[in-house]
Amino acid sequence: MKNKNTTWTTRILIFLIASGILLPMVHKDPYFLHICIIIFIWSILTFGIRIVLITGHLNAAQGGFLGMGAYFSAILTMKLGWSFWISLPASGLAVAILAMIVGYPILRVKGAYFVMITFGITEVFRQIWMMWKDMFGGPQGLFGVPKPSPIDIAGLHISFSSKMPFYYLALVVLLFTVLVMRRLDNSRLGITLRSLPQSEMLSESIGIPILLYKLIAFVIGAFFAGLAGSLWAHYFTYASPDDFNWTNSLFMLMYAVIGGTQTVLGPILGCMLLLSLDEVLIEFQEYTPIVLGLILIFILFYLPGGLISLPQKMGSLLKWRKK
Amino acid sequence: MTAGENRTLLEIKGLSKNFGGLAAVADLNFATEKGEIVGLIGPNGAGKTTVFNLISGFLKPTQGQVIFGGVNVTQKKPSWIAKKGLMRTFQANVLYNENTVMQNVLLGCHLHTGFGLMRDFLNTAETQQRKKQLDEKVMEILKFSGLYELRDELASNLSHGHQRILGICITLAAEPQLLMLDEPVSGMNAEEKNNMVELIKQINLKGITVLIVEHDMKVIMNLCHRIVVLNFGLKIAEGLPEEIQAHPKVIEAYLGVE
Amino acid sequence: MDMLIQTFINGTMGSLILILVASGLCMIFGIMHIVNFAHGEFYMLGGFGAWLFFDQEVLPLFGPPAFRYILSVILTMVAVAFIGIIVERVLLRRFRGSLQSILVVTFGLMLIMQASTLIIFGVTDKAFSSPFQGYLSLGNFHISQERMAAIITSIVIMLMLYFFINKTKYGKAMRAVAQDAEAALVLGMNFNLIFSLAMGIGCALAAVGGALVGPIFYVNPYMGVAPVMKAFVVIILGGAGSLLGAVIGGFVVGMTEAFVSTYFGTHFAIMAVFLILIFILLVKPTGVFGHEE
Repeated sequence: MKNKNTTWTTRILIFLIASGILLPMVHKDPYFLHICIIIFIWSILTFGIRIVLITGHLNAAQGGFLGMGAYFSAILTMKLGWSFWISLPASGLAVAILAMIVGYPILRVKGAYFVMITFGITEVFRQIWMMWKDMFGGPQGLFGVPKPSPIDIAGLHISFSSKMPFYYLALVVLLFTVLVMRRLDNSRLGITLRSLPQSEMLSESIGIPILLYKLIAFVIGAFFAGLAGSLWAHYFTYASPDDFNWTNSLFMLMYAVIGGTQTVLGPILGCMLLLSLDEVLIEFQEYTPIVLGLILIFILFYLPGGLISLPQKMGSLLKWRKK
Repeated sequence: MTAGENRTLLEIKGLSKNFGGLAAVADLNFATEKGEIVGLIGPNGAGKTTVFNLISGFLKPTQGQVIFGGVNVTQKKPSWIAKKGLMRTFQANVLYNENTVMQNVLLGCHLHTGFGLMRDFLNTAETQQRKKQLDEKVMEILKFSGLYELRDELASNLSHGHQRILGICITLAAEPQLLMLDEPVSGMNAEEKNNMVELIKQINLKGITVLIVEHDMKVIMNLCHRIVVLNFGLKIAEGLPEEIQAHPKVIEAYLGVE
Repeated sequence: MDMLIQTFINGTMGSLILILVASGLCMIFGIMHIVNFAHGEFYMLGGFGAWLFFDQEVLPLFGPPAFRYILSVILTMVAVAFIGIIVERVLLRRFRGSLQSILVVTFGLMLIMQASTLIIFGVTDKAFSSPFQGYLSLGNFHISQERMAAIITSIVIMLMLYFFINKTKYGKAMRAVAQDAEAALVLGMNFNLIFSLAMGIGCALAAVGGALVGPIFYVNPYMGVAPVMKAFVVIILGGAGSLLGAVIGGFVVGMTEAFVSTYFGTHFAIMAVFLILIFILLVKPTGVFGHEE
């Protein structure tokens, strides 16, 4: 909203993007690339959470949408023989349509109830995946999801048998997500969405159709979950019900809150920090949720705007000190 | 009251609202003509804000109809009714507290931006042009209401009086045909009240019909062309200010409460 | 026919336990307007508490198993109530009024509680030694004494709760706050005390549920997840803040789960429960016994 902030955000974004592009050329370790890919995919998901979060709703169905995206993409490529390059956007679209159907009844509902229902929706999806063996492979899920088919660009033949091309693929999709979200933030849609939690009554009285706007945010968030799901399925080459549960939705929510929702840097920073922390603590895996929980509570107490509000907070602390 | 059909803007027919066994509003009938300022008064608990909520769609009536500009708006959503041109302000200061004054009024322009979400997303040259026009419209409204100097202040930082004015500005941006004001001068000092009365007169001169609920009798007598009086959810009187002042039932209703 | 009655009995027990958990959630939500996502973890603590006191004998308790078990349950209730009150004081009080913050904080709490329990006790299911031996038989139907105890205890506790809410000073104060917080404020009620009490009782109810279920099945760190989800459905069905709604909703959900589970399998049971929920929300978003705002 303030110009100075936007310039800084842009600068940091450009820095991150440039680093993202250059990094694999410097550091080719496949495990490192693997972590980065995970961070990219989770960032996309967290962006989806964020756009609904700014309207004041915690969407725990995102985990379920992720799964649906993964399964759709797996099914389209494995059973219908479609190319990944088509199933990627198709999965996004399919999940968006699913979200439209699911969102319409549930977005009328008050905040707390909404969260509970979205948990339930993720669970219902899980049950469907486990029961419908022919389509979704039952409790084991679908194995042998093909990697993206090779592409030929500018004389280069890129095959996806190694991690590096996938890294750039995920980065590109993330970049697309960031650009769209950035544009939305500054557009009438974004501004209106942000105003909703401040006063729904006022919005209604000046003609803003609240349900419609919330639904749009919900569907957009789901679209990106669908894209992320497709990336997920073709990276891990399998889709299983255990990966797509409400716990994942919870984690996405935490990354969004800890990172902050004010600018597009929030989800990126949140995921970068917390997933790296996850890695660092891999020896002490069982303690990770505790650390996360404590960070979350700390943020809520002392830095409610998330990590990206740190500069502002420091700034106002310094001003206070000067007085 | 004997106006022709095409001058009647708002018609309330047999409007009733029951909460459990309690009738908050009972069989209310009145009408508003274009260009009028109509006052809705009555002792505390008479049901005035309930009537506003019923008309603007924030509450569903138990019975009755609300007809605006010939269209039946009963049972419709508030945003739908607002789109038809029937809007209201609130008794409490309901604002976008985390936004500036200017941003608040810009949000009020929602219904009349002149461009759709898609075009806005793509930020076409046409959209950018239109946005400049909207900025100018907002600044005009702010100048008109006296809030121009405060345009970059956060809404939550404004004084109570200025917040009330801001609430009206936001609704003005939405270009209402009929504006319902819910206790616009509540909590104001004498000077702020005079400013508000002047503002409302100016708004009316621009052609906007006004329906106003107020407790301050001086303000009502000063502004209104006609007055409707409620008590215990029933209409007990309707007429010109002078008639109402002398009306025995009205006097009884107010004195009786003490 | 036999299966029908057996299912009915199982359903009754399941419903009653669910009602305990849901009542706890209902009290916390109705009085404090807090949605406690960690509520299932208090249920879990109840199970572990009873296990620690009764099975692991962390405290020297004397007497026949049944007596020791009941004592364990009571000790657990008190301990968990205490923990709940501390949580309210330290964590939740700060965010009073901001529903979104409360939701997120209780998420964090849920993670911490689950992970801590996991670290301390490990992931495997802990079996309970049986406090009550044997079965009650009625013709062809057997119901284990443990289940019978669970059913009776649940009913007794619900009756006590009813008595407390309707006949005691603090209970009535809580109802007043639940119905009209502003009026209660004007009347000078001590909100902090009432909230702490509500939290303590709410958590204790959840804990009893877990403690009763422990001997019948087992305890593990994740045992609270499913019950709290079902409790949410019950609350939504019954309308927030309505104990009667919690009871009726509890039976609807519990019986649906039991019957659909027996005849169609657990997957369908879970779906059935949520489909009821979605259907109700479409028809009456404030719940069956809820009120218009």
